[in-house]
Amino acid sequence: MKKLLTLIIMVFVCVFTFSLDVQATNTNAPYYTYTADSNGNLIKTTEAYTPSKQINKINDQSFELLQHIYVDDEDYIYITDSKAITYVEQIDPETGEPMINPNTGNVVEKRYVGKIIVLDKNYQFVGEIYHDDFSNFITSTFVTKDKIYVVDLTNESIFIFNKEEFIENQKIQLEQTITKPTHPIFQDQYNDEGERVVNGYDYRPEHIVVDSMGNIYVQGKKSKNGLIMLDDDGSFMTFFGGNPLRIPIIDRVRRFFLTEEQEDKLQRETDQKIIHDIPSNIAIDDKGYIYTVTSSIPTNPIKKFNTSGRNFFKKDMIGLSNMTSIWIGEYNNVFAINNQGLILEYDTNGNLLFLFGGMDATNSRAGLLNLPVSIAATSDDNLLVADQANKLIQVYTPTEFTNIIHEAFEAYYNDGDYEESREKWEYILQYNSLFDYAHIGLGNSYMRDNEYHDAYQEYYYANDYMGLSDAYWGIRQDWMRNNLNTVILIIVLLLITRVIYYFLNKKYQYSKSIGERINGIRRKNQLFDEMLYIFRFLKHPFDGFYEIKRENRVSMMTSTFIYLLLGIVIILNYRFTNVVFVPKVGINITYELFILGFILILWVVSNYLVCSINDGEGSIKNVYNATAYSLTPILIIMPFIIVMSHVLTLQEYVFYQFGYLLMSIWTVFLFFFMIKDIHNYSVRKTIGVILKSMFTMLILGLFLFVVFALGNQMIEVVKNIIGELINR
Amino acid sequence: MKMKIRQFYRNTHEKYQSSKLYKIFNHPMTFLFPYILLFFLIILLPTLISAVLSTTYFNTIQAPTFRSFKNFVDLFTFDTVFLQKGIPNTFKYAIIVGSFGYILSFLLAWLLAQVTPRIRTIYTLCIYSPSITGPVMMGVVWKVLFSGDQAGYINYTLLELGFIKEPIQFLQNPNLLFPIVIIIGLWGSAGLGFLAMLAGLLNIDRSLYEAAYIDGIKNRWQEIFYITIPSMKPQMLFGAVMAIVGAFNVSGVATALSGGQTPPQYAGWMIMDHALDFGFIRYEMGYASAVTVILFAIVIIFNRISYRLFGEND
Repeated sequence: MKKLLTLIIMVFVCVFTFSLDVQATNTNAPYYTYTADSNGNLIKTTEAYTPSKQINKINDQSFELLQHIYVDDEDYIYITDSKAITYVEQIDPETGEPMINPNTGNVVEKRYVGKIIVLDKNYQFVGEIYHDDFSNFITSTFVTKDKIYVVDLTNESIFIFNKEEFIENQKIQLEQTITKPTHPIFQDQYNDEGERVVNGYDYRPEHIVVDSMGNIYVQGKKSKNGLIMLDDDGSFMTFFGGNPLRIPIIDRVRRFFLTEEQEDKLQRETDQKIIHDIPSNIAIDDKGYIYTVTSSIPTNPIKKFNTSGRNFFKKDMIGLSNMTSIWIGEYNNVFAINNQGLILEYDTNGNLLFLFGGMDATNSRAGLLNLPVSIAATSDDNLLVADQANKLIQVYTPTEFTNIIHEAFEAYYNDGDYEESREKWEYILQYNSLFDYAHIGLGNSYMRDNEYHDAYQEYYYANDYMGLSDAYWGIRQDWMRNNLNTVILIIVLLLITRVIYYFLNKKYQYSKSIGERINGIRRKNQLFDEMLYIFRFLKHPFDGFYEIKRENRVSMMTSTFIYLLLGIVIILNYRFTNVVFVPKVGINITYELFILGFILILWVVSNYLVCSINDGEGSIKNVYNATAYSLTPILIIMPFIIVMSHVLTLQEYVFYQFGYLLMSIWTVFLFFFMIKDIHNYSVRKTIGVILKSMFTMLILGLFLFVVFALGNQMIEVVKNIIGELINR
Repeated sequence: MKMKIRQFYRNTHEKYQSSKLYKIFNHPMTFLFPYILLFFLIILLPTLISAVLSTTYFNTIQAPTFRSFKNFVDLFTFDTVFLQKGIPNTFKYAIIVGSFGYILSFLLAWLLAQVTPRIRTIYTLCIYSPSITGPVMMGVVWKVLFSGDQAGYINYTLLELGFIKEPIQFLQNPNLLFPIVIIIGLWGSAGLGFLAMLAGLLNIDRSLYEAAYIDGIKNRWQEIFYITIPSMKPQMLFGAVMAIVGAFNVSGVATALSGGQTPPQYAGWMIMDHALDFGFIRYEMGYASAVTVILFAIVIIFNRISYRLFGEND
C-alpha cells in the first residue's frame, strides 16, 4: 500500500512538474530518473536514458495514426501506421480503365489505409508493407527469422509475409493468411429461425507473439479468458495466461444463498458490470517466456508466464496503472510504458531498475510524450517509443551508466562471469554510490565466490535483509567450521566441571556461603533486595501481587528503576539487535521512547481512575509498582533475544519469534492478573476494566492533544499581541 | 527332640544370618536388581552406545572408526537440511503441538471427568485412539480429506461453494503441508498424558471441592486453578514430559502425507526424520547417532524446564 501511494505521488509529481516547468539541473533530459531501493521506495538516481532523436516523417510523409513499433533481430524497425496516406488509382469497375474523380479532377485519390513502414538500423527507409486485403485497422506486427506477421483487427486475421523477399527485394509476398479460428467457441450460434442464441467468443486480435515452434499467442482486444493460443496453421489450441476474475466478496456470499435460477438471473445482470482485466500487450523472450501487461491492474501489471502458465514475477512488484506496452530487451530486461509517458525498466526478475519520462500535453518537448502507445528497443538498447498524439517516434539513448548496468547483467545472467560483473558493479558504484541495485549485484557476485564478509557489507548498504541473512549464514558457517571442535570441547569440559562442582559443593557448601553473602547485601541495600525480588515475583506471581499490595514489599524507587531499565533495554533492542531482525532505518529512538513513556503514564493514571470508581482496591502506588513488576519478563528475556539474534539468520526466525512470543504471553498474563489481584476483581470485571482503561487512555490522549494544539495557538496569539504592543 | 530341632534351626539360622550369602541376598540391591538389569539393558545401554557411536563413523558392516566430534561439526556446518529445515521445523512443531496439545489433553480430560462413567469410557476410547493408530490413519483419513484433486473432501467442498476455481495441492505445497502436519499432530496429541491426567482428575478427593466452596470459591475456573491443578501435579508433570518427548520425537508424518522418500522442499522434515534417513537409508549410523544425541540433549533441557514448572519442590 505504501509503495502504491509513493508511486501515485510520483506520477503526479512527474506529470505536473514537468508539464509546467522543467528544472534540468544536470543534464538535457526534461525529466528525472528514479530507481527503487530495496524497500520498494523510489529514489532519484543518475540519468539512465536521454532523448536523442525524433522521427516524425518518413519520405516527407508524416505518421497519421501510429499503432505499434517493432524491432527484429537484425534491428529492422517496423512501424505500424493504421491511417497512412496512400494514393490509389481509381479504376472504373465497368470499363476497367482509370477513372477521374469528378470532385478533385485527379486520377489518383488520397486514401487512408493501414501500412507497415520498415526502417533499417540507421532509421533509413527500406520499404513499406501494404496489401490489398488490409483493412484500415492494422494494429501490430511480429517478426521472426523468416516471416513477418501483420495483425489486422477489423478483418480478424493475421497476414504472414516472407521476410527475406521483402528485405532483399522489397517484394511483398503473402505466404499465409490466418483467419478467425474455426473452433466452435468462436462461432455465433443460431437457432432454426435464424436468431442468434449464443455469441461467439470475441477474437479481435490486437497483438501477437510467435514462439520458436510457430505457435501463435494472440492478445485479443476483448479476450476475457486471456491469450488465445493457436498452432502454426491457425487452429485454436487453448487459452493461456488470463488474469483472475475479481469477484467481489458480496457476490460470492450472495451466491452461497441463492438458488440456481436466481443465480443465473443475477449472473446475467452482473455480467456486464464485472470488469475483466484483459491484457493490453504481450511479448516473448528468447527463452520462450510469455510476458503480458494489463493496464487495468496497478499492483502487478506485468506477468511472466512459462509454458504451463505460471507467473514468475512477484505479486508485489512495483508497477503503474495504465501500462500499455511492453518490450523484452537484450538481457531479458523488461521495458514498459504507461500512457502518461512514464517508461519503466525492470531486470529479469521483475525488480524496478529505472522509472523516467513524463507527459507534456501542451507542446512536444524532446523526451516528453503525449500519448505513447508502443515501446521497442534495438540491440544496442536504444528505446523507440511511438507517440500517437504527437505523431512521432521518440528515440532514447542509454547513458554510459545504463550501458554498464546492462553489461553487468550480461556478465552475471547470460555469461555467468561473476568476476566481470563485479568489476562492472564496482564501476557503477563510483558513478552513484547510492544505487542499491548495484550493491545487491555486487553482493550477489561476492556470494558466488564465498566472500561472505564483503557480501555482508554490500547487502548492508542496500538494506537487503534476505541477502544479509544469507551472507551472515555464510560467515557463521565459516566460523563454525574453524571453531566448532573447540566449542564442543569447552561445552564438554563445562559439563564435567559442573558435575565436579556438584560433589565439591556437597562437601564444602560453597553455595551456602555465597547465598549468605548475597543475603547480607540484601539486608543492607534496599534497591538490590527489591531487584532480586523480581525472581521471586516471577516464580510466584500471585504471592507477589499480594505482597506488593498488602505488605508494601517494593518501593516506588525500585519501580522507577525498573522502568528506566526497560527504557535501556528497548534502546538496546533498537541499537544492537541483528539488523536482519530489527531494521535500523527510519526509527527515531527518542521519539519511540517518549511515546512508550507517555502511554505508560497514561495507563497508570487511567487505570487508577477507572478502578477507583469501580470498587478497585489498589492505590495508585500499587498500580505503579505492580505494573513495573509485571513488565519484568521483558527485562529478563529481551537481553537474551538481543544476544541470540546475533547467532541467528532469517532461516531460524522461528527461535527469535519464539522468544518474543514467550515474552509477550508471559507479560500479558502477568498484566491481566496484576489488575485482577491488585483490585480484587473477578475475571469478567477485569476484562471490562481493561477495556474501560483503554477507552480512558484514548480520551485522555485526545484531550491532551487538543490542549497541546490549543495551547500552542494560545501562546502564538499572546506572542503576537505582545509583539504588536511592543512595535506600536 | 523338638527342642533339639529348634536349637539346630536357630543355630543354622544364626550362622546363615551372619554369613556373606545372607548379606548379599538381603541387600536392597538384590530387590532392585531385576529392574536395574532391565533398565540398563533396555534404556541405559542403547543410550550410551548411541552416545559412543556418535563420535564414530559406522556403516553397520565394518567396525566403527573413531572421528571425535567430526560428526557434530559436520552436522552444524555442512548439513543445511538439518539446520534450515530439521531444527526449525521440529521446534515449531514441538512448541505448537507440545503446548497446545498439552492444554488440549487437560481440557479434554477435565471435560470427560464431568460425565458419567459409562459414556466416559466410550469417549476416552474415541479420544485416545488417534494417538495409537497414528500412521495408519494418516494414510486413510487425512489423505482423503486433503487430497490434491477435486475428489478430496476439502477441495470438493470449496469448489462447490465457489471459493476456489481449481483444487489446492494441499499435500504437495510446502507452505500448506507443514500446517497440515501440525493439525494432525494436535489431533493425535491426546495420548498417554491424557490418560494419566484423566486418572489424576478422577482421583481428586471430592471433599476438597466442598471445603473450597465453603471457603469462598465462586466458580469452576477457580476450582480448576486452586484445587484441580495443584491436586494433580504429578499427573500434570507426567503429561508435560510425555507431550514434550512425543512432540520432539515425531517423524514421518509429512512423508506419509506427500508420498515418496522426502516431502516437497523438506516441508515438515523433523530431526527424527533426519536421523532415520541417515540411519536406515544411508546406513551412516555414527552420523544418525549424532543427530539423536542432539535431540536427546534438547529433550532433556525441555524436560528440566517442565520439572521446574510442575515439580513438587519449589
